[in-house]
This record gives sequence, C-alpha cells and structure tokens, in this order.
Amino acid sequence: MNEENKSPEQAPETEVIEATPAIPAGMFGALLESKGIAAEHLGNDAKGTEIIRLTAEAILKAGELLKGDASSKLDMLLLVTGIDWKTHRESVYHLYSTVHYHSLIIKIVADANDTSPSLYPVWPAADWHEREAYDLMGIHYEGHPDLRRILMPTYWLGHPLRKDYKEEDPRLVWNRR
Amino acid sequence: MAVNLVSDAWQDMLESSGIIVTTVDAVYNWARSNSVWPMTFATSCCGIEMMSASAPKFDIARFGSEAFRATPRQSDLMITAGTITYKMAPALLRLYEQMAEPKYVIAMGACTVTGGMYENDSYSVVRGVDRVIPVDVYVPGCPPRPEALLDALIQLQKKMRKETLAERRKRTAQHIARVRLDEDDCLVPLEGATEADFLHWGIQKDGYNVEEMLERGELGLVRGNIKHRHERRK
Repeated sequence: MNEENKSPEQAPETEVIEATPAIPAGMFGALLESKGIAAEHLGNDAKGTEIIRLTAEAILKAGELLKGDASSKLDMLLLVTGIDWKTHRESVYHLYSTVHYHSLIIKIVADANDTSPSLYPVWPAADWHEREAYDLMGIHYEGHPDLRRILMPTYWLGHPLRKDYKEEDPRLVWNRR
Repeated sequence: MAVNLVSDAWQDMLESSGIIVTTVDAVYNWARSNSVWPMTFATSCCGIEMMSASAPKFDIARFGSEAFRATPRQSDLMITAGTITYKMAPALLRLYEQMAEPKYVIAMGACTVTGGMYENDSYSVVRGVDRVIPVDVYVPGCPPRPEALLDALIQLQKKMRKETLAERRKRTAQHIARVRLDEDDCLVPLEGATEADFLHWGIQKDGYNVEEMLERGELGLVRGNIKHRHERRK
C-alpha cells in the first residue's frame, strides 16, 4: 500500500536500484558451485523450478554430478527443447528426480556452428529428443551416437522450424500452392 | 472383388463388331457396387469417424462396405482418412498402385481435399491427395461426420453403376501420373510437367483446360484466390 502512495518522481529511482539484483543461486546452482562448476543463474520459472545456464565445457561434468549426487538425484530427462533466437540456437533440458520429486531446467547455448554437446552419455533419453531438435532446429549434438532425422523424410533439405527457413526444394514443386 | 470379365482385346473386338456387353455390365456393376471393400487407411482424426461409420451406430454394412481389408490387394476403395504428409505420400502412392483395378478413391476430410488448415503455410503436408492419386468423391469436413462418409459411399455406388468397366478403364487411362518416386523415396514431378499439371485433378478430369483457366485467372475462383496468394509469397 505504501508503494501506491509514492510520488511519481520517486518511482524511477527505486526502479533503477531494484532492477539489478543478482539472482541468488538456487539449490542446484549452489550444489554446482560447491563442486567448482560455474553456472549462470536465471531465476525460477512460474512453477518455481530453478533455471540455470551452463557452458558447453561444463555440461557433461555437471550432468554427472546432478544425476549422481544424493541431494539432487536428477535421474530423469523429461524433454529437450530447441529455441531459435535468430542470432543463435539454444537447447533447454527439463530434468526431474524420481527420488526427491524436484526438477531443474538447464539451458545451453549452441556455438556459432550450431554445435552443442550431447547429453546422451548422462541421460540416454536424450537420444530421440536431440534427434528431433536436430531435425527441426538444426542443432548438431556432438557425441550423439545416431544423429539423423527423426520426423522429416531423409531427403529433406533444411530445418523447418528455424525462423529463417524457406522451403525451396525444386523436387517438391508439385505441392506448391 | 475386381475381376476383368473380358480382356481389353476381347472388349475392343466385341465393340468393333457391334456387340456390347451391357446386361453383363449392369449385373456386374450392381454386384460390385453393393460390395465395395474399403482399405483400412486412416492417418489421423478422420480415421475415428471412419471407424465410427463402420461401427453399429452408423453401420456401413447396410451399404455393403463393412469388409475393411488390411491389404490393398483385396480392396476396391481407398478412403484417405486423414492428413497426408510428404513422408506418408510415397506409401499412399504405393498402396494405390497395389490395389487391383477397378479401384476408387474417396478423399475424406479437408486435409485430403485441399490440405485443409495446413494448406496455407505448412512445410510438410500434401495439399490434397489428388496431386498424387486420382480422386472419385470428395468429402469436405474436419472431420466429416459418418453420415457424410455414408453419403460419399452412396455417391460412389451411383458412379460405379453408371459406368461400365470399359469406360472406367478409359477414364483411368486419361489420368496421367504427375509425380513419381525417385531413388530417395521422394515424390518428384515427372519430366515436362507444368504448374497446371499440379492443380486439382478433379478440375482436369472434367475436361477443363487448366492452362487456359490459369491464363484467364479463372482458377482463382475455383480454388479460392490461390493464384493471388501464390504471387504475394514470392
């Protein structure tokens, strides 16, 4: 109620001060930092799930830790999402613990060649999910045992869910509208 | 079941000598139109309505088509119940080619008639199965109700009774395949095919000159201002 009574001149100052709080490390971020793995904390999503961003170098080590550590036990990979930010591509991994019933979201930015490390060695469930992200978004997962298309036909050119995708295959001219 | 009563050569010889096998045709057409065996080919939600049509409440058996076959070699009718994608289209073409003559196709649902709600900007959906195979009856709807499918079957039965086997043979011969499978299992246009060839076979088989219609701009009226949108995309 006090905030509503503030004069409009005071509001911008408080906004500037409050706009740059460092997001505190959540449970999983603190766990990673205690083992010397740097993680970028992105806050929580609407359901309170912690979101962290990891580097390509740290992800496999962090994955083994998060899966094996008794306090996290993130033993289940729920889904893999690919995001096209136009400038770069990003993979989002949703993890869940069937022991502690908590979850974590990990984001990994793919490099300039759209290459990202595969999480198949840690969570074998990543196999088909990463194939789908490769098929539709064009993210190449290094270390994936069988990276080929899963939804589109094998002859397909390009990755159809990219923002800059244009279907220009001359073989498919019979289906133009 | 599909049986050729007389071979092509016999038919031609009989016709040239003034003998027409009308009575046999009438009996034969009556028999086969009352036992059209559809192929079990359901690719999405229209399949549910197709199953419903064959279930007791709507009971397609009243029209003699309850024998859904799981193989194209024993089927007379293909009901394309559901969206056809690029990945499914080669299978569709193969199954159609494996069916015995005389064979018929009912395009069931908006997706197989024009592409439906995927027509505008989908990257993966075939915009109407008549770009790949010839269609006899179109059933609009998303999905059509079972009654609509029954009506389509009745329309098809009427069609089967009207034309003799020889006429049917000539009619299917008129249909020129416009796509073929290449070594990648990709459907590619045949050599020499033009844009007009890829537009609805239903328009072409009724004797319209599609190229002239394209020039006069009449085809936009038939397919809903499509030419305009096509140009806008470029």
